[in-house]
Amino acid sequence: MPGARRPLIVISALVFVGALVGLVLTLHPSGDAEPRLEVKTYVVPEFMTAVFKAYGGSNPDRWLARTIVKNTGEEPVRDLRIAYQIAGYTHSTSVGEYPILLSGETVRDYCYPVFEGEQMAGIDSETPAELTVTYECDGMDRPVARSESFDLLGHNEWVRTDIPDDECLVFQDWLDNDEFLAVFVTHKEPVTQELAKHLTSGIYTATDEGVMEALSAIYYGLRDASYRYISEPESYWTDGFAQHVQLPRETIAHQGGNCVDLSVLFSALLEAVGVKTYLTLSTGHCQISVELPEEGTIIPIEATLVGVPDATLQDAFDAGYSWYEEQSAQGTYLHIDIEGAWSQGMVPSL
Amino acid sequence: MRPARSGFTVALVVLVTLVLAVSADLCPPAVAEGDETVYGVDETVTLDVNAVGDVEHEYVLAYDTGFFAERGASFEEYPFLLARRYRAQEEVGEIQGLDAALDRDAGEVTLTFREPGRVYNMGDRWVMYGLGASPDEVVDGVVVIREESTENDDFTLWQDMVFTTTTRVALPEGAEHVRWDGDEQALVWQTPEQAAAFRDVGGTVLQRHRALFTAVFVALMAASLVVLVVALLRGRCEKVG
Repeated sequence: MPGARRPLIVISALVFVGALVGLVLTLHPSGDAEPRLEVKTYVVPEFMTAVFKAYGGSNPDRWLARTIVKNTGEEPVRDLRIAYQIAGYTHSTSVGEYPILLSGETVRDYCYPVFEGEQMAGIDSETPAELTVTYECDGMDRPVARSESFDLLGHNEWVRTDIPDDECLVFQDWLDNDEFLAVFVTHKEPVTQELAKHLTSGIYTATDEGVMEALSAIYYGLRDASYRYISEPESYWTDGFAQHVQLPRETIAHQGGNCVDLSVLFSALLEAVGVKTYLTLSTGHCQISVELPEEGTIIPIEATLVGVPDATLQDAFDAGYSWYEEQSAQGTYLHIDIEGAWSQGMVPSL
Repeated sequence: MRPARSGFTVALVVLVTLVLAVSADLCPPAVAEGDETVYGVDETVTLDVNAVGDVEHEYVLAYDTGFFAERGASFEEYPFLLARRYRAQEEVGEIQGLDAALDRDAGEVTLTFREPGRVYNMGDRWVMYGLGASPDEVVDGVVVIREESTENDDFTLWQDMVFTTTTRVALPEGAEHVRWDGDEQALVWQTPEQAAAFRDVGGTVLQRHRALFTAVFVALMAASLVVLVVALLRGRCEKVG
């Protein structure tokens, strides 16, 4: 039946050509031009592992990296996604999702990494790491990935300031990251808890009298256990702006430390039994203060006197007061409210 | 309003000795709050938002004239005091065109810079975080926020000062449905351009459903090709036969 075959051939040929045209139109790039993005990523060059919890997203100002993306094209960019990865440390971090970026619009995306505490505690010295930022949007053939290097600092390192040397004008500038010290006050850590409970067993710290008793028990407990004041060797200063700070459990293990280490230990032991404490910093020295719960008064104590065999707690009060008075007259001290710093995200984590 | 370091404003200046009779033997000296002069600063902040969420910042700090006559020279002597907190942001392009100016006669410091991407485009709304407090009023597209705070930083030369801050956020032309989102602690609004771009998802029907239509057209091509080949082959066979 050649007569019936011819229309069939014509129809199927037309369908084929029509489908081919449809396929071409479907696969042809949309009227929107290829996305044109200007992308800049900045990574914190040195990351303090001791404060890793403060970078997990609770405080928007504390981030490991930020990416600034500008749509430099004429058309909107749709469904922009930005993700970060730190090889060997995190599988993923926060993911930024932006439904639309108008022509000329800029978006700022931040990386809030979630690290494992055990892994951070295992970093003893400066360790190189690499952050990979990946971004993609509608119209891109494949995601774009780029890597940036940075260093993870050892878990004992406290970077005291980020202000450049030539711009440090007053002593506060040298201690610009003062509140970071609160992360070393690990009052819930088992070794610290055990010692605190052992020394202050049966003391009720909700009264002024109880706090004084607890303070006395801790002071004489450490002094009689022959804790030593160890002045800072060169190795404590990792560079001009960072200082090695022992965790309380390390000071307990070494039975000694410098003024910062011993003040941090005192603070952790007292906070472990519910006493509110402060660290007072000045250039070259650190001291602890306690707050009496009823009177609300603050009492400075020179913690390093535990290293002097016959020094009494009264001596520690007098020395603490004397130093405090001197610094106060000059206006050269910073007061760190430990519990206040914790509530601001400076959570003890190691 | 001015971004400030999280400071510890424990004002413990005048020391007093307190004899605390909590222990027969211990007389711990204690520190107490003092009463030094606290100066005031009138701060006027203008945040001019454009159509793509960039913001032009202007901070005018009017100091107590007595304080400025005595200590304002420090800002001239150490000009980095006014800029260093922003420099890291400027170096990575988060802010641009940072400028700090000083008017000794008026006792004023003025800071200006541009911040691209300050406001987030959520597709159906613009969201501006970090304003610190909810608006007091909205007049002709200008959101006004008034607040008072105690600051102690580079701008106060490290002494406590009470800032009375008036912030005016000038929204882009056409901003509508302006509201304060208490849950997000953010100022929220919409613009017609944003809504239009969000509705116009781009591309043709075929391109928006690319996977579906690719499959349909490939199937049609395959089927028509089979029919075409069969028809052509059958014709040839009939001729040969």
